[in-house]
Amino acid sequence: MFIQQLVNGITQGSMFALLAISFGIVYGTLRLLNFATGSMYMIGAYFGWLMVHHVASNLFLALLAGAAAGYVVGYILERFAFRALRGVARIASLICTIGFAMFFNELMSVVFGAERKAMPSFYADTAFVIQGVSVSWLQIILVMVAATVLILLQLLIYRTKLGLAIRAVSLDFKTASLMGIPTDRVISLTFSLAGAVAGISGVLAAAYYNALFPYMGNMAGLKSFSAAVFGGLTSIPGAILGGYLLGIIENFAVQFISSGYRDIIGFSILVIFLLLRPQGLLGRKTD
Amino acid sequence: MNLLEIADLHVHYGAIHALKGVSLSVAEGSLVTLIGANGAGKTTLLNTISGAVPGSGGSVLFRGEEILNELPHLITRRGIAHVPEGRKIFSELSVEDNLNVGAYIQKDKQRIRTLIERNYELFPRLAERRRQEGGSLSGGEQQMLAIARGLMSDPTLLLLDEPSLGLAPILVETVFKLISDINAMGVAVLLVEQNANVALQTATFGYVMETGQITIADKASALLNNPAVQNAYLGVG
Ligand SMILES: Nc1ncnc2c1ncn2[C@@H]1O[C@H](COP(=O)(O)OP(=O)(O)OP(=O)(O)O)[C@@H](O)[C@H]1O
Ligand SMILES: [Mg+2]
Repeated sequence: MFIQQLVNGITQGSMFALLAISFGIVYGTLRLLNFATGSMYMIGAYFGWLMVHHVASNLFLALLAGAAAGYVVGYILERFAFRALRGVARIASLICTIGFAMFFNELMSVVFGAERKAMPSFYADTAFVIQGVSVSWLQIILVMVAATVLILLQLLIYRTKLGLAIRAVSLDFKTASLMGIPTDRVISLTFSLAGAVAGISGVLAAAYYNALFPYMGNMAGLKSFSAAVFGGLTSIPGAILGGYLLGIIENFAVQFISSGYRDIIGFSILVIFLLLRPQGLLGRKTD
Repeated sequence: MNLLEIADLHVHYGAIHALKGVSLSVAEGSLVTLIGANGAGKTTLLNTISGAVPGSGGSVLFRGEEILNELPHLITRRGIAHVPEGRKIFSELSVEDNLNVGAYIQKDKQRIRTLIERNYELFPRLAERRRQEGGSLSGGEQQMLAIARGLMSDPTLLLLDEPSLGLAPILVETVFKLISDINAMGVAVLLVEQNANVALQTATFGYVMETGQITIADKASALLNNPAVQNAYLGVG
């Protein structure tokens, strides 16, 4: 049972980690909490589903479609929720992201219907069995895809010139522009990347649960926001760690206490933890 | 034609008229200083040149081309580096990464390496601390890093905003010596200072700014002997 919950926890944690990092990179560069993160996840899932149903029944093409859709939504959000509101109080941008979340949720339920859509099973065969726990190929693929995206993102941010520019902009965008960095373009790109990562997470979730619906991003968004805060909002490794921990903690809570308490337990741990360590696991105190 | 030619420049912050028709020029390869009291508008002038603050009238010509209100990163590409007031080091980046950010507009890796090595020769302290976080440096070291970072774009014009601020007298001397050396490499410098004495000894030409206007413009040596300047800025008399 322990291993079963650990496997489930890591699988779910992978999706949380991707969403948490989406929160984290937007917050890191813009000091903006993007509450439309869950919508980018949901829209990613829908475009993945469209790909599967209308073009080719292939999980990897679905992931690409979800990433592309998330990228575009991220771009739109940056234009309207952030750039258009520059110079206005930061809270206006935050509220605007909430508005966009509602708008996207309603839009998708009008266009595709509010009911659940079924995502076909991919790679449902058992890959191996450990101590009576069976692990499917899908779980393995899901964990690998998340890990690959997270590693690529790390490499991008810490090993490339663009990543250095992103970090400089996130530390001090005025000074970054004096260094010749086109800050608007960097910010827009960062937001789009966050969208792509959320979109991938949405497709993975739809494949894992075999379902998608217009409000699927609400709880996922809130939870991964918690995971990001848990890890320390401005720390990318922190967000990843927070995502996996939340997935694992939740699954153990379900196992050892009760499934009805799943959501409460995750959030309670977050609140208690933040009372003790307000900057999160890996965040910096000065933030 | 001067490298930088500012004419009748006006800047407003809302209702505050911070620059009221400023005219100033910097010749190719020269070292010009701008002195003035707190709140005179010196930082505002530099910020307007580098595009960080919008101007509301007048013109800023760089190599004969209008750059007023152009985007900051495009102005940097033209060859103007601005070392801002308060240093503005990227405190969580290493010393070397601060330099790499400064080299953002450089495409050639080899060129970046050469510029970094040149900086390490100019500022040996930075070489010793290349892996350290910028924020962990002392005030003097941070100032050197800020200047070194500005040089990474290989500018023709370097704008320096109060490089001596908060430095011990011995360090002030070092920093001004470095500024002379940088100027001797062919980089034109517009140096904003409250430390008028050292600034006028280092520069060849000087401007005095009072409440948003240039009140005196003369050779630096003449300003050092000007009674009005001596009274107000040099603590003489
Ligand atoms: N962002 C701003 N908003 C409103 N007013 C400003 C702003 N920045 C500067 N000012 C005002 O503009 C005037 C000029 O300020 P500025 O910082 O350019 O002076 P300074 O000569 O650099 O002074 P110091 O020597 O203290 O650095 C001051 O009256 C200041 O209060
Ligand atoms: Mg100033």
